[in-house]
Amino acid sequence: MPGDKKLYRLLLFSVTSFVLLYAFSLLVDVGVRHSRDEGFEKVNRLAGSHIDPAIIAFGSSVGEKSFNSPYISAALGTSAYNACLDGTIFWQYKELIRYYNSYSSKKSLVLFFETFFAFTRIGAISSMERYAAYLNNKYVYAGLHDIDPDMVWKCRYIPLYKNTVVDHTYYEASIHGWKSMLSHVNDRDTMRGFVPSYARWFADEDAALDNMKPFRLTIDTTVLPEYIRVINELQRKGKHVVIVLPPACKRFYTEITDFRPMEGMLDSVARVTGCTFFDFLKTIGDDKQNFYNATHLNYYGSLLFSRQLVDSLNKLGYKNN
Amino acid sequence: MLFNSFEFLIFFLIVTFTFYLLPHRWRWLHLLVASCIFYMAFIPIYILILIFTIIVDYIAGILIENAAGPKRKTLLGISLISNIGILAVFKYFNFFISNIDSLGYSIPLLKIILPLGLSFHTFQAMSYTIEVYRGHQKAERHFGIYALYVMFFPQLVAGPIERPQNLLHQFHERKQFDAGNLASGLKLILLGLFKKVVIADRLALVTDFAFRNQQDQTSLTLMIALVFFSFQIYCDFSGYSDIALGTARVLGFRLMKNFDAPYQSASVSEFWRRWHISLSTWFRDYLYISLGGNRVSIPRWYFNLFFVFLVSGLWHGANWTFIIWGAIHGFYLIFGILLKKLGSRVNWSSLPAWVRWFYRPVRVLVTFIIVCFAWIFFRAASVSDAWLVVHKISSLDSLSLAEGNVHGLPDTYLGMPLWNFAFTASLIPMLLLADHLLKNRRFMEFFSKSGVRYMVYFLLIFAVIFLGTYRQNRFIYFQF
Repeated sequence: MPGDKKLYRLLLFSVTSFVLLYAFSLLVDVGVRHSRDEGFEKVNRLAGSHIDPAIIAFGSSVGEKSFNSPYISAALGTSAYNACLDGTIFWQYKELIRYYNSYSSKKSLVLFFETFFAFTRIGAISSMERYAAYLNNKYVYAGLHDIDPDMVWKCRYIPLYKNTVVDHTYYEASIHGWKSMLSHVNDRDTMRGFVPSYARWFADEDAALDNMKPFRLTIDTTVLPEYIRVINELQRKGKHVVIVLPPACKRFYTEITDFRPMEGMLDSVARVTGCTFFDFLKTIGDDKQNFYNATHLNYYGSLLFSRQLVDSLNKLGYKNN
Repeated sequence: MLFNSFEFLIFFLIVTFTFYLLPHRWRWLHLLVASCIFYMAFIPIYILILIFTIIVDYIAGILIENAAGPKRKTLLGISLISNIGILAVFKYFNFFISNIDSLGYSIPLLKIILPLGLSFHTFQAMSYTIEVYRGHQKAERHFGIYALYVMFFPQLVAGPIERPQNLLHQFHERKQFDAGNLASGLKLILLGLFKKVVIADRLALVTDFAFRNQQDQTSLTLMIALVFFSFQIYCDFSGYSDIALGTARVLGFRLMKNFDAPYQSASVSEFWRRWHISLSTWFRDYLYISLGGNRVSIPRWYFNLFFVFLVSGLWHGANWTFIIWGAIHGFYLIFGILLKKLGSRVNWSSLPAWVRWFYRPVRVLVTFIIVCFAWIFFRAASVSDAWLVVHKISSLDSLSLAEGNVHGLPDTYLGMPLWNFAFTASLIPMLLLADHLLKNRRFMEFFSKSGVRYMVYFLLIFAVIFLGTYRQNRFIYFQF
C-alpha cells in the first residue's frame, strides 16, 4: 500500500514539524519575556508584575522623553518609573494600566502624560512585537483586542500565527533575552524607563514645521469614558492620578495646532474625577534648544521640565513622601 | 482571499475535504461554488463580469461548433469582441481617455476599479472559443463545467492561463484521493509560499524603499534595487504559480508549468520560453501565428515579433511604462535574431576551449542584465520615473557600497538593518542554486530518496512561518 505509507509519512512529518515549530515558538517567547530591548523591557516589567514604584508615568514617546525618572526619583527621594511607550497612546496602553492597578499594592502616584493625539482611537496596533509574548495575559489581550480583534484573536488562539505577524525585532529581542538569561547579566535599570535623547533641535525641524499643515486636534468622545473609568479604578485602589500636559515647542502650539480644546478637556476630566491636572505646555516652549523636535523634549529639556514637575508635586504635598 | 492568508488555508482545507467526501457528480458544483466564494472575497459585484463572459463564450462555443463557413468566423468575432470589449472598458478605457485628455480635451474618466485577474480569465476564455473555432477542442455542453474552466479558483486571478485541451477534460474525470498528489501538491504550495513570503516580500522591503526615494539613490544602490526587483517579481509570480499548481494538484488537477528557471536563459527568446510560459505560448499560438509568425517576409516577421511584444506589454497594464517594456523586449528579440545570424558565420570549433566554456555563462549574464534594464520600465510608476532611474544608473555617480545608508539611519542599508539586508541578498544565490538543482534529474533522484529532504521541507516551513514577511500582501500580478 504505497499510498497509505506516503500518507502516514506525511502525517508523521506534519505532526513532528508542528511540535518542533511550536516548541521553538515557545522558546522565542521565553527569550522575549526576558529581553531588555527598548520598549520590550517596559512591557516585560509591567506584564511581568515587576514594577510597583511610588511614582509611575504612563504615556507615549512624549512622556518617555519628558519624565526624567532618575532625576525625579532623586529629587523626591522616592522610587519613580517611566512606563511610557513610544508610539503608544492611551487607547492601546489602557489595559496595561489596568493590569498594573490589579497587582500594585502601593498607594502610588500615577501620572498620565498626554499630548495632541491623546484622545484619538487607533485602528492598528503599534509595536505588536512588544506585547505578543503576553497574549495570555487577559489585560494585554483585551487592550489589543479592542484595536484589532481579528488579528489579536488569531495570534492568541491559532498556534504559530503570531509568528507570522511579528517582525524581526521580536526575534532579536528573544536572542537578547536568552543571552542575558544565560550570561546572568545583572538586571540594573538605571534609567528607570526614561529614554533620553541628547540631540539638540534637529537641523531640518524648522523646515519640517514650515511644511507642516495646521490641523485641528481630534477628540474621540468614545475614548473619554474609558479614560475616566481607568482613572476612577486607580483612585478606588488609593492611587493619586495626575494628568500632565508636557511642554511643546512654541511654534507647534501657536502655528500648527490649537491645544485649548485639549487643555479644556483634560481640565474637565480632572474636575470630574477629582484628580490633578498639570499644564506645562507653554512653560519652556520658547527655547527650541530644549527639544529635538516640535513635541519631544531632549535630555536638557527633560531636566528643566522635571524640575518644574517636582516643584508642582511638592506643592501638591508630595515632598519626600 | 490571498494565497498567503490564514483565510485561504481554512478555505482550502474545507474545499479539499469536502471535494473528496462528495460523490463525483457533485464535485463540479462544489468547486464552482468554492471558486465563486474565492472570487467574491475581493469585490463581489464583479462576478457579474465573469458570468457575462462565461455565458457569451459558452453559447459561442456551441454555435461555432454547429456552424459552418463564414458564420463560424462571425461567431468567433462576436465572442472575441465581447471579451476584448470588457477588457477595453475596465482596463484600457481610462488610459485611452487620459491620453486624449492630455491633448487638451476633457472627457471624464470612469470611476472603476480593475476587476481582479481580468486579463487572465479573459484570455483563458478566449483560448476556448479560438480552439473550438480551430477544431482542436469540442464545445463544452455542460454549462457548469465550462464555468468552472473559466473560474477554477487556483488559477482564476493570476493564471496559469490554461488551454481547454489541458484543463476541461480534467473536470469530467473521476478523481480519487491520491497521497502522492497530496504530497507533491503540498510541496509546491510550500515552495511557492517560501518564494512569496520569504524571498519576494523581503526583497520588496528594499526595492520599495529604493524606488520610493529614487531621487536620493546612487547608481549602485539603484542597480542593487533593480537586481532585487528582478528576483522579487520572479519569486512573487512564480511563487503564486507554484501555489496555484500545488492547490490544483492536491485536488487531483494538473495545471501547466508557468516558469522554468527564467534567469538561466542564455537569450531573450529563451527567457520568454521560460517566463510566464502560459502567456508567452498564448501570444505565440493565438496572435503571433495568426499574424503569419515567421512564415512571412523578414520585415513582416520582425514587425510580427515587435507587435506581439507591444501587445504583451499592454496586456500587463494600461500605462506607457508597460508598452515601452514590451517594446524593449520586442527590440531585444529582433536584435537577437540578427546576432544569431552573425553568430552562425563563426566557426565555433576553431575557438579556444575557454571561450566555448565561458560562452553560455556570459550570455546568461548579458541576458539577465538586459532583462533587468527592461524591468526599470515595468517597475516605474511613470515614464519620467523610469527615465530618472535610467539616468541615475547610467551616470555611474557613485559605486561606493557605503552610499546605501542614504537616510543616515545607523547600521542600515537601503532602509533595512545590515544583517537583514545581508540575509535578504543571500536569498538570491540560494534561489539560483535551487533553480539549478531542481532541474538536475540526478540530484532530484537522490534528493527524493534521501532523508535530507525532510530537513529541507522542515526548514522551508520554518522559514515561511518565522522568516516570512506578511505585511506586503498582494501578489504583483493580481493587478493585471
